[in-house]
Amino acid sequence: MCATEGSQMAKTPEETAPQPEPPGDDRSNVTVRMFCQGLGDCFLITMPNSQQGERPYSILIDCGVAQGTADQKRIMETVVGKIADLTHNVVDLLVVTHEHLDHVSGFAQAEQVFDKIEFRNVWLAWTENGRDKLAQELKKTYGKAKKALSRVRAKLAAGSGDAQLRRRRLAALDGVLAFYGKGGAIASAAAKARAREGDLERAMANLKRWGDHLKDKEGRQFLKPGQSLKLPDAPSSSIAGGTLAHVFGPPHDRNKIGRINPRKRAPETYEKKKHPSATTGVNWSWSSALMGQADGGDPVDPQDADDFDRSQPFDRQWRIPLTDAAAWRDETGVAFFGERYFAAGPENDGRRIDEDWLWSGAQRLALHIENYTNNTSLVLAFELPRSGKVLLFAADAQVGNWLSWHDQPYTPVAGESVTAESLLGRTVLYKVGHHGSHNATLRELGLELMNHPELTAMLPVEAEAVERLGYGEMPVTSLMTALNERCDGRILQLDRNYTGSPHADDWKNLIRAVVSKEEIRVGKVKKGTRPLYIEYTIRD
Amino acid sequence: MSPNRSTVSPPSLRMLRAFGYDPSLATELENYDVSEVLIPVRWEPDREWVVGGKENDPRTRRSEPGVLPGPVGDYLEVVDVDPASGCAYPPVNLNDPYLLAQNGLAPSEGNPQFHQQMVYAVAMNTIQHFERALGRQMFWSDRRTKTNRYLPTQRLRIYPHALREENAYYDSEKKALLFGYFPSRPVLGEEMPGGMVFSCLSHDIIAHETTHAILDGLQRFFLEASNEDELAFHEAFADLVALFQHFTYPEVLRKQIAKARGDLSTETLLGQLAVQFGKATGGRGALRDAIGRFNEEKNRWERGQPQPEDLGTVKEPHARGALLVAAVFDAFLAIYRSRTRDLLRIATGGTGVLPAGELHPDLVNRLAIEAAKAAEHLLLMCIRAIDYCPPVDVTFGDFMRALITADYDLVPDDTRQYRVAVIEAFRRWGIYPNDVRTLSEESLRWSPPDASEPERKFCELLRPAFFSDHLENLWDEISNGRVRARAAYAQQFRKLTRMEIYQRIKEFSAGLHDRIQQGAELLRQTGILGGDKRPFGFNIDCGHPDDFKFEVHQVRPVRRQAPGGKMRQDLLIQITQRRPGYFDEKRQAEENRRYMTRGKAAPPDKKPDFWYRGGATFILDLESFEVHYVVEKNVVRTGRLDRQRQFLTDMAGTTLAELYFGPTEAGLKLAALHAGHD
Repeated sequence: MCATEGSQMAKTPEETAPQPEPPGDDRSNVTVRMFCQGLGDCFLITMPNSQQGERPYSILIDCGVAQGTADQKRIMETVVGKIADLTHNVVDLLVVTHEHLDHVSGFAQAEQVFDKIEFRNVWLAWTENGRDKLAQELKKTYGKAKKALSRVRAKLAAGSGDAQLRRRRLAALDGVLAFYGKGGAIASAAAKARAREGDLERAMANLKRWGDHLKDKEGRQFLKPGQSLKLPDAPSSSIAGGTLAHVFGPPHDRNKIGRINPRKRAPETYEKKKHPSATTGVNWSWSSALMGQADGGDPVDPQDADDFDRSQPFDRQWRIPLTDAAAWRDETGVAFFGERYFAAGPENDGRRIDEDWLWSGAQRLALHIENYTNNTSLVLAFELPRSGKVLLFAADAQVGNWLSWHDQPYTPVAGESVTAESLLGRTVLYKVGHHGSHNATLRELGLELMNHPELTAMLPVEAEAVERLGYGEMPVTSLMTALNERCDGRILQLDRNYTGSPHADDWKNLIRAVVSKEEIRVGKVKKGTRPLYIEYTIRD
Repeated sequence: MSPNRSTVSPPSLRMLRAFGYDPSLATELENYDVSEVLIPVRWEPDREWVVGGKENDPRTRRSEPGVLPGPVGDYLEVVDVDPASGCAYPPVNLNDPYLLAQNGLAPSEGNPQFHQQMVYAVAMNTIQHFERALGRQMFWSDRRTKTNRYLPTQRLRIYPHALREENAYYDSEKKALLFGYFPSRPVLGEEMPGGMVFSCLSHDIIAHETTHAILDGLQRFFLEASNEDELAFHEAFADLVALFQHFTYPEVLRKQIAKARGDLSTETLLGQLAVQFGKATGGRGALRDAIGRFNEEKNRWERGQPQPEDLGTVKEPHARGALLVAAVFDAFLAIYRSRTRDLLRIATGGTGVLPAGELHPDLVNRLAIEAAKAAEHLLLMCIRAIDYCPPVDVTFGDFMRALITADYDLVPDDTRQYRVAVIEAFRRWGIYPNDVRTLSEESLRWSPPDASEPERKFCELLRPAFFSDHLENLWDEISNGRVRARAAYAQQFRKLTRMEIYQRIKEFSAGLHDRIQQGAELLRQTGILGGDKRPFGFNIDCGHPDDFKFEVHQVRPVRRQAPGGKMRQDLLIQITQRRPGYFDEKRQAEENRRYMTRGKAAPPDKKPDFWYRGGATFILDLESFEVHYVVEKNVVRTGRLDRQRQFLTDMAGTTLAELYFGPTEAGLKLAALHAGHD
């Protein structure tokens, strides 16, 4: 969009935006940097130390980019290299919100750069805790579901019928599977190797490796909702030392973590529903049909075969195996199915239903897993000591997660306990949930409670990636309208701040926001450059 | 000696057994005796047709029996393949003498052939209601091939066991109904957990999905949601047809009326849709209820109250459609009450207050007759209104006006005050047309074309086509449904099959299209049309010649019979135009400039973000070819275009399915049967 606009440097936001107090070494400035790697989260919070010249306290929240981003390894290495510089190779606290590639891919892609960085502490959600019973149970359930989804993909890929339709469906499924690095668009060996670099398992293994040596020193913690914690290893006299981290989510409750969509009658979020949700998951009869039918490759597990037989709707006497159906003839010698279903010709072309059951269930399944994982997001509200301002990082939390913030007590600190409502009311920085999707920002019990006059939103969404992954509207217009109103236009969107771009005007309202001088090259189709990060400063 | 065909004429009906609502009633003692009904299905006659147009050449004659195994008839083909189970189930042969002698197979959940019989029976019954109300044969919409050609669809395909999930839908690309089955997961005590539930055994679901397909055949642009009412209208209409069909089964009706002691505004099966489905998916009652709903907090059923403000806030098509259903059903209840008031007075010695206890069976019987009549009248009224709707961008308000106009045409003196009841009920539910000044019947009726010269001249263009050489013959064949055998010695007629008529309608529409085009061009050259003189908002001369292209649909003779026996003959013509629409307002402004440029404009974009459509429905007198009504949606003015853009923008990405799978895949099928359960 702006490869040619580099010459129009005259109007950078830096120069046009009013800068009442320049950020820098001011003792009370907290800096939040949103890296602009593409669709994905990577945030670095730095808090000044009490002593001039000392290394600032740093918090890294997530480090990932969506699959299919051009040149992602190079981009992530640049990002992490910058993080190493900014933190002097020490990250005091690493927060990993949930297991989606667009939040963790960097831990695999830039592992060599990360190896130089020392993590002093790691915070994860309770869902990652191997000792937590509910976490184990959920992992098992959803592990099975993910396996089923891979099988659906294999089946669809091997299927016959309309090639165009199949391509469209596979691409759509890959858009979802992309979060796990299991997309199917992988062909060449080189592409496979690249895919491994962005593999979710590898990222999680690296995190485990880096976190494991911390666990003895209690440096690694699994957080549960309702906790209010001091930042670990923060010097007591500094801002970091006085900051509290309140854990909003994920809810430690099976029902709430499964709650994905807003209510139908009075939606809690910024959406207008058109179609009924397809997120109820699938029933056992569907999954036994998926697992119980041989399809060339994998042999069928005897237990699965048995389940499949039990799931048959009719007794054996009625069944004509589909493989024999084309040749089947009735008493009068008419090949009913041969003529009315299998025969090529205008009457049957495009009207067969071989994969409709599979596709229809697969959509439900994919959405269900997807949303469950989003709902396991670790949500943190950092409360600054002097001003009481709050920085809210909502990761990809969806309805069930948001709602739970309000019905849990928070650990009292110094005799006082907070409520989610009061914290939302003091929020000055909101990291918009799930890249601005329709169901990840609560309305009444969320955004409408955020009424601090300084409220600013950070929105890590890239239009090009949304298009590439074949997603619908992200960010959703109704949410943008509401955000715009709440924030008085102060929305920092990672792909909307190209130097000299038409959006430069949007920055007029953005006090204390600057873009990095360093730039990264991005884009596949439309190549261009974009700042490495957007920086926003909050005065405590 | 067996009697041959010349001495015994074929029967007019084939009675087929079916579950009254769905299989759940068969296991309830209270409803056991009404769990089975007999559905009167038209006896489909054997078909005989000619390929290639040579009437007297025996080599070109083809024929087939009325109903083949499947069942496969003239309108429907049931193909029972179940890919999820890796099975197919053998087709039922309804002409088997054993089945003919016992009204088909007995209701059974375990016999797939009964499933085939039931979907056929209920779907045919639904088609019959439409044909009776509209006075013409139903056709399915054309099917688009991969090479972008449109093929006529003779038979709607029905797959009774297509999916393993709690769902059923009309797939407008396949021209097929797909029904699912699933293990039940009910509130304890309502259904057997894990028991298999078949959506193809629910009368309501079959009727609902069939109606979607019929409506798509009648008004093909209604599935192109261009405003928030359109899909909701599809849903509401499908629900209304299913609901009013409940009243056509006398045993069920009497039983429910006795149970409700004559008061239909209480909780009865008559106002509920898909009872088993609703319970099997974890609800307390039916999937939808036109009269009330189960209040979870108070743990009891409650009568729904009109919430006029809901129309402004409820957008989800099923929920929004429910508002229209409730309004029409309220009108029905009012009509029923007024029809039975005298009966109640007679039965109670003038007080009209019923004593406690059960009602006299004679009274139940009379009430049932009145309820059946009122329901039938309302159902036919609603169906007839379809012809009076605009061809694109329909709203609830348009439907209300169509309803009033259609009924006025057939029954000018509203002695039973049906129209008053409809207007009142719609008003109570907040449904108004936004283009009328008052809610009087007179101002709600569509108006005849005004007397301005362009409109008058345009209307005059329609008439001559019916009297030109080639087209006149075609029209004769279409309107009489028969063809004259060509050879001089064989002065006889042959009855045309449904598809032969369809072919002729297509051909006639193409001829009419050309004539209108030539006529309009002539009028433009003489200055009668063009510039600001746009009859019914049609674009005659703006932009590129591609921009003033138009399509002609639904050229159909319509013969309708009023309840009193009076016949009315009309002629229906729909003409539509389209122009490119864009989400980006600047891009749209550019496009609008191009569109409005006369003479030198570039051709329109072939793949815009969306198509903005306009057009008009013409209703003419079948004999004089005078235009009675024109229902128009202007394509040149942009106010509606802006609203459509706003609507599409608001709707985009608002569901997860759409977010991840894109609008085409999610919107491809008409919305799934039910709203999610989260």
